[in-house]
Amino acid sequence: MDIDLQHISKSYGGREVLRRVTLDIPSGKITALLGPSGSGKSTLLRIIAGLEMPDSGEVVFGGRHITTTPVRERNIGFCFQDYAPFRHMSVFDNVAYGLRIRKQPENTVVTDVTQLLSRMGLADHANHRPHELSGGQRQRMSLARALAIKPSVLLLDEPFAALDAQVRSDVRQFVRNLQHELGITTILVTHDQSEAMEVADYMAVLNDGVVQQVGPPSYVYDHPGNSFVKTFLGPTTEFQSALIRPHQLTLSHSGRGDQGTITDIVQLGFEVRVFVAMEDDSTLWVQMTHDLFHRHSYSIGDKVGVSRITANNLRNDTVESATSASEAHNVG
Amino acid sequence: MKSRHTLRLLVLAYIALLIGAPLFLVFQRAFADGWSAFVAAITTPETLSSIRLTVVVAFLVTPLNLVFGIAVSHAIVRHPSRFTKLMNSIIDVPLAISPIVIGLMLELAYAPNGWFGSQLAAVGWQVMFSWPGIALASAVVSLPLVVREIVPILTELGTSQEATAETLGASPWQVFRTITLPNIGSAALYGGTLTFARVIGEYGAVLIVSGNVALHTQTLTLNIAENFENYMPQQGFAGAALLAIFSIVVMIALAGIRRRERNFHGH
Repeated sequence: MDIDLQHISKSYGGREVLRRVTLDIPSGKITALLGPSGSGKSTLLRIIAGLEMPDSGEVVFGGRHITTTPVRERNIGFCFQDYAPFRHMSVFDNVAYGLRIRKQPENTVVTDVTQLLSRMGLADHANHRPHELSGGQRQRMSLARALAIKPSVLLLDEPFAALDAQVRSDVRQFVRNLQHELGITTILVTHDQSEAMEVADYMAVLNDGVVQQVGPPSYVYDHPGNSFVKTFLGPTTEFQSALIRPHQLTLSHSGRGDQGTITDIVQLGFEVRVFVAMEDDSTLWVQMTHDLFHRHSYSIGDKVGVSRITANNLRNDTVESATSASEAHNVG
Repeated sequence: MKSRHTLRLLVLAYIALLIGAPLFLVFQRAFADGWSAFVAAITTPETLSSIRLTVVVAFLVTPLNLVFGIAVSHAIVRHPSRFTKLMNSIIDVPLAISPIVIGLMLELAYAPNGWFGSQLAAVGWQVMFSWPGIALASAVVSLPLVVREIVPILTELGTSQEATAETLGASPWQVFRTITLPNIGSAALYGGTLTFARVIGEYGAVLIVSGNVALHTQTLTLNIAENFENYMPQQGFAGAALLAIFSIVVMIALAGIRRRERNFHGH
């Protein structure tokens, strides 16, 4: 089901959190609402859920105006950042909650919940209390609980923020696979651009209560509409008075390009960052692969030429670094 | 290590001096003439009647203050406004004011020649110097106990569980019954137990509003005091021991509720 947001505005105590936000959310896809804290993305999600009322504007679910429809009649699945486990209930009862509220016969409840729990890898935990689960399991429980009512929309508020770094990437992949399998329209709120790029099919970048740009993540990354989107979606550096991605620059020991001196080198495993002081007193940094870095054996104090990667020098040894560095970026 | 032992001994000695020994003495005096004398002392018509009145009032006031306390706590935490902020401060007043003063305040308002009292008397309701007055005074002095237990728990609970239930289709009442209430249950039970104990043990406010007529408007604490005044210390000590036994039961109950609460949250 597609969701139409029309001119949504919301203020809290005189502070405008959302300013006439208009956004079409495609059916059956994962859409990320991406923005820094205070950008209004969580408020927008809560308005879609019906947990908040917009001051003006309309929320349309599949052609139906539901702006004033109470939360409980919207048939949405909502997962809070803290997963909001019902801590006085077993995992099974948590997942069964929505079905029992809907007065489903108990044998249907048992069948549905058992099936969902095994799909979520929680079959062995049905009788456990939420506090006995790990963070990742608790998140899957909250997903199962939201999905049990077969919602028409799944809303996720910062779904991965509370997880350990190692678990996070597994869970992202799990959510992505699950969504592709179910085809349910999903909206997730995040402040983490790499999360949005990894999980979402479509994204809307928000800042200061205004939608900055919408589109598929890779398109928005490659064609940022303004400098906010550009800096928010990935690292930038300044070259010839223009903002540019550091992986779009290349170094050489020959005299090619603008001249500068290497001041620092930061090695992050696969990625290496080389900081250069230019002759015009500006500073910039260049991102390259570990492999390329070692092939050229750059070191601090080296005089180097800096130039933009073009189709021409792409054909040389930089081809590998340019593509793999941008992939590295997408993975985050 | 040694200094810690000394400290422990000091604490124990302090408690023994303040509570242990005096409590022991009360029991010693109450049972000085044996079990049957104790039973006889607490089964005089006056004392029995005072016990009955006290228990009836406690069973009347506790559920009343529980319902009121839960409602007020919910309003204070979930629907904050200038009004609930004011209520939050006012609710503590009975803790700060001496029960005697509360009794006098109520008497001025509800006595047959008082503010509301004259209206109530006109429709045949006598509040002062009868059991409704005793219940009223007991309710006022124990007013904050439930609220003070529930407000922090409700605040800590947050709104995400309740909002999740709402998204799953629960009505406001279903949310309250299935999510909110189970989470504040222990706190309510704890506050209710404290309320019950406070009502049973109240003296000052009840003294003013009850009229203190034996067999009619005399609660157990008043009965104990009267027995001492009338040079019947034996009777007085027996009543005091009964109250002390009750307090010990309450303390055990509170500890049980605390343990339940810990198990409930799994830590």
